[in-house]
Amino acid sequence: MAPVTSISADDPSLPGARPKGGRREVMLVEDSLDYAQAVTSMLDYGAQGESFDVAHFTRVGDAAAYLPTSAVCCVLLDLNLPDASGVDAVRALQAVAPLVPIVVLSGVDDDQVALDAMHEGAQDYLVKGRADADLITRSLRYAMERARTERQRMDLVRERTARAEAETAVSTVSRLERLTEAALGHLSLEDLQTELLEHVSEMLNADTAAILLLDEERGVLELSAAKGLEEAVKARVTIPVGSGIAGRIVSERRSIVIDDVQSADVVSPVVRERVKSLVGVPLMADRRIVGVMHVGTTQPRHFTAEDTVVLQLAADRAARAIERAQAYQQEHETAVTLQRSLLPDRLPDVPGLELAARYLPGAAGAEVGGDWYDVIPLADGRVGIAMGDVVGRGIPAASLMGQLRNALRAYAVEGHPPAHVVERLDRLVQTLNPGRMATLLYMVLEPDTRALTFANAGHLPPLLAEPDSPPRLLQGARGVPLGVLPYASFEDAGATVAPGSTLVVYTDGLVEERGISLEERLAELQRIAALGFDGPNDLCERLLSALLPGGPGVDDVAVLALTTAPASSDRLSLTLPAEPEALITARRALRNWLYEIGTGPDTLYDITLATGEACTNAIEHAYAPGEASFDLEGTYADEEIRIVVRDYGSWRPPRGQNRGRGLKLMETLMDHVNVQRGATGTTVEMTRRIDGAGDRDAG
Amino acid sequence: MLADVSFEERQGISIARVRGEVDMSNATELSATLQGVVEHVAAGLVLDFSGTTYLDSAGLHFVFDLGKRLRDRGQRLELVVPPESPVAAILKLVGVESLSPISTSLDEAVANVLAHGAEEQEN
Repeated sequence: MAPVTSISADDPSLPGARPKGGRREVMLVEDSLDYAQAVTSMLDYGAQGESFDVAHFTRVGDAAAYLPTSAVCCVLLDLNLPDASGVDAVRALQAVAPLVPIVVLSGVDDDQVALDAMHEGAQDYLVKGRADADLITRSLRYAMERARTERQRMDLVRERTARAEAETAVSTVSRLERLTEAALGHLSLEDLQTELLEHVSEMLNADTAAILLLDEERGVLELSAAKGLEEAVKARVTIPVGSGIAGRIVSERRSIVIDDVQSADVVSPVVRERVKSLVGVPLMADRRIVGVMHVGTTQPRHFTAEDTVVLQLAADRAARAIERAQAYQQEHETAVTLQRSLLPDRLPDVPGLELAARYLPGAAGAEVGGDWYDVIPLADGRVGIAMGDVVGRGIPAASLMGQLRNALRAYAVEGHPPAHVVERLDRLVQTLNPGRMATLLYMVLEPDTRALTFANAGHLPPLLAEPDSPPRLLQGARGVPLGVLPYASFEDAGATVAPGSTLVVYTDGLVEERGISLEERLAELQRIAALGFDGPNDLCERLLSALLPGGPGVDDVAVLALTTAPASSDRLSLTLPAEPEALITARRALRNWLYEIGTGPDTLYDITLATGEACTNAIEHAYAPGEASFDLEGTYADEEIRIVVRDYGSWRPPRGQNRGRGLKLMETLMDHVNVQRGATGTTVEMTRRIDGAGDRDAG
Repeated sequence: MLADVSFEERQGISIARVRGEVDMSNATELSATLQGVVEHVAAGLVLDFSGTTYLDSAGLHFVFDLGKRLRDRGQRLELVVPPESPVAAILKLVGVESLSPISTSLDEAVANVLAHGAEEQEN
């Protein structure tokens, strides 16, 4: 029966030969006429420098009748056809034309179906919608090339061996056929090598097998995977190019057979001890050597020319897959390193705030996403908190994330309000990364007054859990994501949070789940926060385990929680490093504490200054092997503030008129100052009365 | 850096504005920053503390030191400290005025330095 559509069915071509014009004929078995028309045009137009004639059939029966006498070089086969279901179609065509390779092009994305099709003899398995002209063309060409080399090899085998040997060889070929791009393409470099070694040692009935990968920069081969020689992998055996057997295979670009390993030039002691005979071949992808594969036996054996051919055929397939896995692994590692380096190693210490954060990468194998967060201490004790998500994955997403993080830090420390910071970042994305998009939530919190200001560029709303009311989402200040609209404008929203409140910011990986609306998931987030928790760290844990019981999905997850200081405490206690920078921390902590007690601004300033002087002295005089530190304590009782600063060094006598000024200031600003110098350090004790809780200065 | 310094010039007078907090962690750096300016000051320098929120003994040392360096060159250091400034009390307490007069606004300080310069010329 004639094909449904045919561009060259009239050609009296002989099987396998190229018809006139150099176009080869491909059979397309596909019952969807629209899709068939699309594929036919695609192949007729061509890709990668080759186009094809297409003979299209809608039924397997018709295709099987046409195939044996046709010039068809390869079949593109759909799996769900009117007269054959699943892999039966593969079997039917294989039965009438075993030498014509079949590439399945199916709408079914199912590993088991793909494996079944491979077992039936399909060369490759492509999924509709994911296969473009390039992929289909490449797959067809590889399938034809493999069929051609296999036909040649089978001819060779037939000529030289008896029927029994031919049967073994056929089974070897079928094993070789299993080493297809589709079967190996999804494996990591490590799993790929294990799989390859398993196959080749089985095919050649060998006891040991090994893959060495070439490190071109260092000019050495590194033992990367082995079967029966595992100790050598652990010992990280490396062999210089040019020496030893593997080194010679690379430098001479050819296979080497060794009958008696003992008397040969073998570098690895493990191989020398255990292996009696071996055959090794170069792993070559497009004339580029990526490494060496060898198999061996623990008893003497002579590896034949056929053994070498089989190993080389396997190696050719392996090399391509290894090269691709290496490239993927390298890009993945670069992206992971880049992205991790952009997240804070640790959160800063912010007086008056307790902070916790979690970052969970998406499901294994997925490329890294662009989730990021940052906590930036600002002037006057304020703190900036950012949570963002760059749309996209891999290195491009990670590098935009890096730009945003650095730019945000720069704008944030300049003290701009959140909406202005967000607006500047939006302009940055528009200018430097047109076409890219990112969401961002940026907020500034003043721990002293607990005033919160935030702006939101298309990000999920922050959650606020205050001690005396149910947790709620802060829906204000919603703007479009960064990079979406030219001259987008953003607004600030504000809130004053109660003492002891917790704020949570997060990325969509925490709350998005297929099949459940975002509203429901956000309600769930509030419900979990309402159940109670012990600090921000505990809340992060609870949210992750309740919302993502099975761990993160494909998306990355970032969550950051912070809790403001609880209602005033009557005691302050800090141990700080004896470094000038510690003065900032000491002042902030002291101000927060004095503010909570209700000290008025003038008294607050006096006590802060006097304490600052005592701390300055402690830092100047602290001496100790290793890291010196000092203690700062504040207590409030009977309307009196008492400050104690203790160091572990000795004060030097005042030098010059300015050096004594610190102590004079303390005495002027405080009611009583007592300095005790001892053998182990110096303690400054100071007191200052305040007129009860409330604004002393006004009273 | 906790503090931020910016410079401008008005009628030949250099103005340095110090914003933020000054303590031992940045006083030396601040002093070094102003050293370069002192060398090019013509009539005098106005040090504006309107945006300064904290000043400790290391900061005071810096002010005294700067005042002395300018006086040795025959120049004047005028301070701007608004009455409501948190650092006003401490500057008065340590008697900075004996070396460097204090104005309550920038305009007043500039006028004082100009008048002082005119006096010098008359003499």
